[in-house]
Amino acid sequence: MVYEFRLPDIGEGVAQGEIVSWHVKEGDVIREDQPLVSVLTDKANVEIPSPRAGKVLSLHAKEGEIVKVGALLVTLDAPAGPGATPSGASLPPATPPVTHPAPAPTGTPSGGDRVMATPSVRRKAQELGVDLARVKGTGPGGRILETDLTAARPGPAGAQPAYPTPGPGATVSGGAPPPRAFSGPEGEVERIPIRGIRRAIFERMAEAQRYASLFTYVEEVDVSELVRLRERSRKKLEERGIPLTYLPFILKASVQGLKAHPRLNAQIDEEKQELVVHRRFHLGVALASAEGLLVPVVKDVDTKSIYRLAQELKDLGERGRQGKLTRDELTGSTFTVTSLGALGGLMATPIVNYPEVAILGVHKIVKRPVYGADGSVGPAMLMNLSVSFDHRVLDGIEAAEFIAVVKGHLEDPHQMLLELS
Amino acid sequence: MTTELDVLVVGGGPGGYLAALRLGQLGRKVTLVEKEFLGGECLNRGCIPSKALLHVSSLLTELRDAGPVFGVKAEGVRVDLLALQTWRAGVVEKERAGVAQLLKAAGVSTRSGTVELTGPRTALLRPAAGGDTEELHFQAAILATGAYPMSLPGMEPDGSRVLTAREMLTLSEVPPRLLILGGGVTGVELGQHFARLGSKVTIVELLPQIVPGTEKDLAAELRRSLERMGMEILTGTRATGLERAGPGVRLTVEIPGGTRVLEAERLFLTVGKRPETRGLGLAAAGITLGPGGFPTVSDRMETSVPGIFAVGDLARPPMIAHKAYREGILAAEAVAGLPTRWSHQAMPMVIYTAPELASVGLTREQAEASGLRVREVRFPYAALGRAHANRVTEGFVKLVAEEETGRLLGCHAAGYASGEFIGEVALALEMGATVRDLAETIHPHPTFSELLQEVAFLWLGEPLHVSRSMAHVRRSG
Repeated sequence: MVYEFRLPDIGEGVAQGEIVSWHVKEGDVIREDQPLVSVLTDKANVEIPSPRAGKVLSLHAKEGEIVKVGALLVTLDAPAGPGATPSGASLPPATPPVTHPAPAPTGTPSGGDRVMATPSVRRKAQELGVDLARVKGTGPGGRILETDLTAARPGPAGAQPAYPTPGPGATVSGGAPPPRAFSGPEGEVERIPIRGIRRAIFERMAEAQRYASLFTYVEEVDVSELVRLRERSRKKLEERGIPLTYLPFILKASVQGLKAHPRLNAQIDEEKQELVVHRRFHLGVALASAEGLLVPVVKDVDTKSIYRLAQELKDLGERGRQGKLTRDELTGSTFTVTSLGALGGLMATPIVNYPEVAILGVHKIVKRPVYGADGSVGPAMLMNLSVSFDHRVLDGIEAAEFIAVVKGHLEDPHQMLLELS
Repeated sequence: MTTELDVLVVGGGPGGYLAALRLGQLGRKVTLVEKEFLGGECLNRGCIPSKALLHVSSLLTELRDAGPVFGVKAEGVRVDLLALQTWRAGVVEKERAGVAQLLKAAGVSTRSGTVELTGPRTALLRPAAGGDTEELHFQAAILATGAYPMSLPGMEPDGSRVLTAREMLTLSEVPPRLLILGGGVTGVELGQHFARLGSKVTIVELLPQIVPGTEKDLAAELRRSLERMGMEILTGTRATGLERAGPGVRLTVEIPGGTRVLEAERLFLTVGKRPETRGLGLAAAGITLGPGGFPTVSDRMETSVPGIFAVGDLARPPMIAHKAYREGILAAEAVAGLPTRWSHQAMPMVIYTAPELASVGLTREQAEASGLRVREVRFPYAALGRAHANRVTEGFVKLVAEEETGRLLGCHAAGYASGEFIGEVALALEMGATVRDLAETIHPHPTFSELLQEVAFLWLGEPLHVSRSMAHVRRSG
């Protein structure tokens, strides 16, 4: 018997996901719970197992395609009988198909679906990537108004491939910026599809640049004491297999700064035009992985010891590089720290992890001669911090004061450790 | 040598030339290849020239039939077919030049020839003037090659006795007897035209009604009118053999209990059209075909090969110009990366006969089949003041709307100028209007557009110029 498997509701309000890779192909005979497909939702990669044993008849989505919850993924030829009931153990039950009437590919184009929205609103929805079947209309008779669209969350469906070479001065009447395409000789280039994590980054970064007004402030910190403290402490931890970087200290110092300036530990609610200030301190830590930038989240940094943070960072880092982080570990940050480690450069203009309002960039530590308080010149370990923030809601003075607090704690780490609760 | 192109548009008909114009607006560099004339079938041998002819023959009929009643004395009125053809050709030429001018202004480079795809991004151009073929490499292509008239074995058009629409439109004499095989839109339009000019016209249609696909009562209204003017209409009738005899033809048709031989000077073969995929190289490009030989297309008109689009008659039915226009624009925007998709609620259809048939949205049967509870009412032309002033009192307008909410679902009319006001209902459907929206929009008096207001009030049970008892009301079970 033919068994249709649809993208199940993965939870947390996830409405759609991107097919990252198929683990089976048409004609494969698979067992129950065998991994079928990897689906990317927001930033978490979810591996979906097959609820049934059987033979794969057809795959209904291509890699890179965005599929909605309830959309048909696979048809299986699954034997009926005892083993045929969906296992349910490892998977929430597949939801019934959402009522999104997909236009018939060939049939007559006359009837159309009966979406209650005017042509201009329908076009706007397409531009925003909003699925009208999921929008509640507030107009007369349930009609979907243009204002209803802004309330609906835009998805990535608004982006479409172009087959383009917009010449100079290309204009697009219709809102979206003119898409650009490469038109040079194909033999001399390699084309790499923007997929999976890279696509999530692609969209998130563009969103940050589109909405936030970014301003970067850079400060120099004398971390000579911190360097000595870390040198003394690292051995013990490394014996237990945990590397001690400067990051746990920087996270701790950041929390001190955020406690003094809570408006940086916040995100923006664009719709309500409000700054949402967080009472907890969940710090995202930007991390390079083979597939691109990942930002695992260290929860409640204020309650954790330096050792505990070092351990968590190691664990998140390892699993992040293996692509094994859960959605929960990748979401919910209130502030973000980004560091390139030893390659940390002199300064940078980090982009906020939108809709957060601030991000701290950490740079490499260099040994430089400096004048001491008594006028003598001596060696010091110096490090720059760059803080980028959304100038729409924060002023330069807040960033400067925030950095001053962070700087004070990093320059006198013993004092910081004494103050920590 | 390979020519590098940005966007290749194949075919200069409504789908192709509007795609090219829109791409020009979007800043794209377009090369449009047309094998014959810009404007395609619609402009050269379809919509435009046939309307030019139909306008004249309806004028003639009106003078003859209504003239005496109106007090217009115009004895000896006749049509000089040569002059009529000159005028038709002039209209077409002017329109064609207009399209060329628009394309030029949009920066579209127009080439004359045919195109055969050789791969997903490559094609061969064969110049119409002959000479070497040219290899093309494109970033994206929009195919708009239209459709070609179907033939029947043994009845192939010969350009003299068995004709296609192309020759029919350019005839400069009136055949005393005209046989029309195929009672579709073109068959009835041109059939009525020649009947007005004096031909004895017989229409042979295989299906049980003329203009198949049109609402039964609309088709019936038209049939009554055609028969009243002396046309013979044989529906449910199969033609089994054709003999080209002397200066004319003899067509054998099956009738109940036997056969009948129909004789005429000319046979107009109009039995449908097929998507023009011949020689286009769709297989070489990897484009898959679906039912009816149409390339399968997405809701952005993209074929199975990303970057190659198909629009208009080539892409899918119905084969009508305004659908092709919209699809051409859609494909152009898709090429440019705009997220537009096909999301239309209504596809208006008009048949330019007398009475004119116009239709948009769902019929009562279609609405009920999709599970809606509907109410349908019918308002007669005879209850409209303006219809009396013009002496065009035949026909009716039907309105279909959802019983509970009053949401408009469709409108179907048979009668004078119905094609001119059906666009208003298309707008109403796209806007999600209700019957009350239509009723309470003030319509200019006295015009035929008032029919919509009248039928809307009738639907609401608040009729203006007709009594409630006169209303044909049909409700879902």
